[in-house]
Amino acid sequence: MKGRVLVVDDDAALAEMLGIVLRGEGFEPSFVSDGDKALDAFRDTRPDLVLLDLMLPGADGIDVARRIRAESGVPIVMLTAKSDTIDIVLGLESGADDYIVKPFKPKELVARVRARLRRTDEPTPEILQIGDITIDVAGHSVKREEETINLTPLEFDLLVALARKPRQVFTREVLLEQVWGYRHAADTRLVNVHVQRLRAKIEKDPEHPEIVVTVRGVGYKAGPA
Amino acid sequence: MPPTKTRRLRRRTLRQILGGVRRRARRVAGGARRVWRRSLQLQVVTSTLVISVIVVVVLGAFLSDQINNSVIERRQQSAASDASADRLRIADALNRQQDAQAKPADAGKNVPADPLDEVMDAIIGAGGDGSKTRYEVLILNTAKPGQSRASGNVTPRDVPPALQQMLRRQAEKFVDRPQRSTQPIRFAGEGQPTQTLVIGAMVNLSDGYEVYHFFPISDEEQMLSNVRLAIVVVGFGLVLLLAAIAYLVTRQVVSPVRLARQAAERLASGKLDERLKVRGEDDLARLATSFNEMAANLALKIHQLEELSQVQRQFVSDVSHELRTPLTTVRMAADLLYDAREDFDPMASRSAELMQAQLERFESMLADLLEISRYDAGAADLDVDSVDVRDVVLRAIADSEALAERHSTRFELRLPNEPCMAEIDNRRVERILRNLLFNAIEHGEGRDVVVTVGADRDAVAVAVRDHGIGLKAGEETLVFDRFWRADPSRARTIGGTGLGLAISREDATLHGGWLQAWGQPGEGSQFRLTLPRRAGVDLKGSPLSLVPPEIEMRRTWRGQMTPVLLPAVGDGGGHDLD
Amino acid sequence: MTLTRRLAAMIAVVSAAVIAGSGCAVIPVGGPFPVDEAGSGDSVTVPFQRMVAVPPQPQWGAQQVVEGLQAAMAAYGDDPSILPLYLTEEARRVWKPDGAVTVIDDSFRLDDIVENKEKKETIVTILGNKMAQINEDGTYVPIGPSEDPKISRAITLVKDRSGAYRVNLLPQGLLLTDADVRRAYRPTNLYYLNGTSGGDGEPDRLVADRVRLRIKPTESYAQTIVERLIQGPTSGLQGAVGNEFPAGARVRSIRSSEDRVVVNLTGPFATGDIFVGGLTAQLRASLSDNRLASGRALEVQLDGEPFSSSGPLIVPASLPESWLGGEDNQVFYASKGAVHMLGSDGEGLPLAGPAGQPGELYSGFAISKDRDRIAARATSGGIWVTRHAADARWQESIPGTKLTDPSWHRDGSLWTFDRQNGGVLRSHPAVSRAAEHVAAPALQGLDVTSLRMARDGVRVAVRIGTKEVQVGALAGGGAGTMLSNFHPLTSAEGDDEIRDIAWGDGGHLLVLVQTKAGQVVKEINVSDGETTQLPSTSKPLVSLAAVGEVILATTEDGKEILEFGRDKQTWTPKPATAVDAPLFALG
Repeated sequence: MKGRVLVVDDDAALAEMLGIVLRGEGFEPSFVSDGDKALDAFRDTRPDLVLLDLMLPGADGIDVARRIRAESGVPIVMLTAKSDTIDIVLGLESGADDYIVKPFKPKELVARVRARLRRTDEPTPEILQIGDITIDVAGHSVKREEETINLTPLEFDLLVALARKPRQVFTREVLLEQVWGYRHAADTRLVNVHVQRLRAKIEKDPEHPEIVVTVRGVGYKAGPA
Repeated sequence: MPPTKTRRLRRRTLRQILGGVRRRARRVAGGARRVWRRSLQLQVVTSTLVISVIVVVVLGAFLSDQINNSVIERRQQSAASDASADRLRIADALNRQQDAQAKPADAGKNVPADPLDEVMDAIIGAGGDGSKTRYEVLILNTAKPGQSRASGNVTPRDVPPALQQMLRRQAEKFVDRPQRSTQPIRFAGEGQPTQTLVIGAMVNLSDGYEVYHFFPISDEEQMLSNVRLAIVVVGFGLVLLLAAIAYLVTRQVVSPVRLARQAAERLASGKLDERLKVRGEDDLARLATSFNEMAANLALKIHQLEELSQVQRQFVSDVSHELRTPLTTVRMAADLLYDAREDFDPMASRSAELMQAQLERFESMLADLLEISRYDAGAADLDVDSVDVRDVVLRAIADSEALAERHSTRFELRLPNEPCMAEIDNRRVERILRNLLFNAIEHGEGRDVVVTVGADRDAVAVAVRDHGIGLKAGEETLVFDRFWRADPSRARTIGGTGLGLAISREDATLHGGWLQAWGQPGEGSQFRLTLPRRAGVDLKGSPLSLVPPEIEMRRTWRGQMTPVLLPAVGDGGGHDLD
Repeated sequence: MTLTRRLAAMIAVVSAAVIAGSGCAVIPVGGPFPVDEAGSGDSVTVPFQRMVAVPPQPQWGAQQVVEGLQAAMAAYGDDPSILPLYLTEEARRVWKPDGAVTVIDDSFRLDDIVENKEKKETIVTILGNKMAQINEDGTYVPIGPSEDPKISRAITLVKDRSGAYRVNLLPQGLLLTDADVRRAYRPTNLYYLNGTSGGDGEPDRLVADRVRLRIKPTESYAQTIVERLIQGPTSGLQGAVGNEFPAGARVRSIRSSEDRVVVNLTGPFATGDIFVGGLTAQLRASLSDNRLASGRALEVQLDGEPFSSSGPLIVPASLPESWLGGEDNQVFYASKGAVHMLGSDGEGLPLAGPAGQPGELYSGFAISKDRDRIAARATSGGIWVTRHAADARWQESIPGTKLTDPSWHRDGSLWTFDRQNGGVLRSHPAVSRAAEHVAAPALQGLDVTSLRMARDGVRVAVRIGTKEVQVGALAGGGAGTMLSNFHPLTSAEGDDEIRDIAWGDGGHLLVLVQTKAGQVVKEINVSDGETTQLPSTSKPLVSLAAVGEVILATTEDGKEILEFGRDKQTWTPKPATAVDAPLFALG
């Protein structure tokens, strides 16, 4: 298991504590405390996962997430002291895959990190087709008529989860469990934001989705309504 | 019992109809009263109208009376003088007649005409150039044949009997004072009666000649009625004019006031930049100026307060957030210590345990505080979704299972069979239910906790019933206060933050729902959450009763119909039996 | 301006308005009230008085009961309820008020209270002089000179159960005194047309028919007149005149307004082919002659609607002259067998043609309507006619030996009476129709010495001998033409002689009577015989001529023309000499 984790946090005590916990779980943490330097550090260390505090000096967490996302699909887990919807949605929309609200337990943190890193372990050769979208599960690529669509691993997982059982309706809770690996329903906002992001990439007209369709009052499903 | 039911139904229908009518009448009256009370203009115009109507009526009555008197008086005087002149001529003629009769009957050919005929011709103008008098004359002598004459179409029947009798009574006393009488008389050949002044008198008392003069005064009556009509029309016009003037005057005064009122209303509804136009320098202009100053000051103050509150809220939020980062570190460190406590000596090990527990409490207290501060700031918003409330209840119960086991408390579930869909914020409702369940477990003293879900067309309700020590009178509202304790001396076993019910109450209110408590010492307590099925719809009632059914039944059985309901909390009061 | 000041100004204005308004309402109080003088303004009726009958009183004696009965008779037309109270049941059953009304003069007496003890009757006799009778059609027939005026009417009274007198027997019909008649009746001229429309020619003249109309207290005099007018002429003109009002017509109302009198009729008017001119002339003349609706236009309505669909029928206040007056009043005169025209300067101009030639052959000249023909009686006895032209000559129109002087009818026919054969002859010189007989049964066997056609073409006056004048009418048309309806108008008593007759206007005949005391010129209304005696002149008169109001006569001695001046009631001479007879066209 790869275990390079870039911790972007300005609080030295917390960073150190995180380092202790992560190391204790067998990860290789590296640290950066300034938002402006975060991107350079990311390029240097090529981490498998980024733990990103939203409140940073210099460029704030949202900016950092956006910049990283522009370069790479590496999983980003946000650390935030604010649990208000607006902050979380903003963070998720800027490219974060998951978030942990402070204060959190070490086990919770480790579970999230593991969940984000786990999925790359089990590639099965498989080609899925939804609408005009072709998904090569093993090749980790999504195409529309030979045109490759770049998805983050999380978005890819979400799409694959939906596409594996077309026409079956997934509740948000089920999706959270399958894609994010949460045992108990935590925050359905995660699903909402990522479905939006996925749609923005794969739908011809995100306002009138045809591939990932909302079933009112229940959840989402793949394929035409 | 179907018959009873129908009878009651019918009776109720009738009563409902009556009630409806009464209600509607009251509503109309209320509307009118409101319009009256609210319109200064209407009041001024109405009082002007009333006063001017009174003035015009009094003035008109006075004028009409004056004209009436003068006209009728004049007519009667001229009639009386005409009549007395005629009577003189008649008396003269009658005397001549007697002279002629006194002479020996000379059977000469050239007998002079009867003086009576002559005088009648003279009086009525017959044989002249046709200038007819305006009145008719009747000479009546019932004692002598051929001595009665009449002009025009008057007949002895037209003489008012009372007048005739009076004259005859006078004659018996040798009095020949003329008498008059005014009344409508219908003359022969005329369609309708004419108002007529009749003057009667005796001439040549000894011979019993009654002379009656008939003066038609319908012209005068006509003129009087014309004058009256004119007075009415002028008066009416005057009243309308005054009303119009009052309307215009008050409009000049009222419309700026009305504008000011509207501006004030808009100001009250939050449009702080509302200002009045200032025109001229009169009182109203000064009012507008003052109003504008007031509005400006108000806006300034409100702005300052808003800023202050913003700062304060930001401060609370920032403090909470700033606290979190160190708390996270502490928490992680404590966890590590706690996990490794077996390697420590017993004292350090226990310390780690205590620290762990209290950190958890601290953490949840901080979360609750944050939540409360969010409500206080009005920053809470709903994430509404249509869900089955039964599922939410089941999830909350599942969350509480562990605690319940610890307190050896069992849940008794009473769920309806069909789904109870409602548009709610899943997270918040689950939190409410969790709080209620924790609360019930904490105070349930190990007895069963009954969770009932009910639904009707408009609302769903969840009641959580415990059989603990219950609530004292008045505590039903206090339980929702922040950091309130039923018994300060009693220890917290679960370690609730003291904010749970307060937050739950806020959550319920945010949904437009109710959270209410019932309790009785020794009977335990019941908390009922009622939520509208559709977000934003006002609640009218709850599908479940606030008082547990068994208590209710026991009360009915005892025949105590007195306070069935303890004063219900907040909006929900009084609706529960619906 | 502050608000309070503005309000104060408003209030001031309002108060001013109030005070001004109430002032306006007060103003008429002081002024004189425009009271409609209904009496004088009412132009459709006349003032009149009535006898008022009183029921019999128990204490009255027989004479008083009879007086009361007379009063009840006088009032009967207005109030028929009183008279029966004077009668016993039997009398009530027997007595009828119908028939002609007998008029006695005012100097009657009640005489001879004869108490018949056996029959318990009391008889009171009314002794008086009869003056006239009023027929049911309203004709007032004065007592003839030959008739004995003295009448006595016995009234039998009995006492009823209560001891009061009641009339048990009385002569039929009403007995009125002259005073009663004067009180209750008005002599009224009704006007009819001198022919029927659609007959020989359009009627162009009105013929007066005089009646006594009883004034009804319940309706206007005008209404009474028009109702009577509709009923048609009296017997004297029956069949001789036209009436444009159809039988069955009625008056709904006659209302007087400020500038017009509205006559609302109803009945079977054939508004399409009615002779409106005639109808309106009848109406206008009948009302105006009785001084009703004078100076006001008449509006004739039918059932309250305009009379004809073309618009309202308005009759102007004055009648066109041709209907009544407008006669040719040029004075002509016969002198030495020639006809002269009296010029305005007093010069006599002989007429052109043979009529203007002096001679001994012709006398009894008559001038036709348009002066175009002159008729005369030749010494031979026949009637000759010449045109009024220089190249004309005399032609015999009606041959005969003993003919009366000719008289022109307005239609151009020439009339005379054949004394030898006792018949009326007519010729029509204008159309050269030969003389023909016209039936005149009433004149059979009478010594008609003069026959004059009135200018209206309807009435005919005949002098019988020198003693009597009768008046008749030209009735019927075409082949049925006859002279009829003759009744005596006046007569000469004793040795008096009627010397001449001449028509004045249509309703009056002038009669020259020679009495022992002197000469009398009477102007007699041919309808009711009302006679006006003109003041006499010392100069004996021989011949009369008249037109309208103008009366001319010639003196026997001076052979001059005298004109009667109505204003000064004197005769004044006209500048003409050697006049045999004055002449006017027609008449």
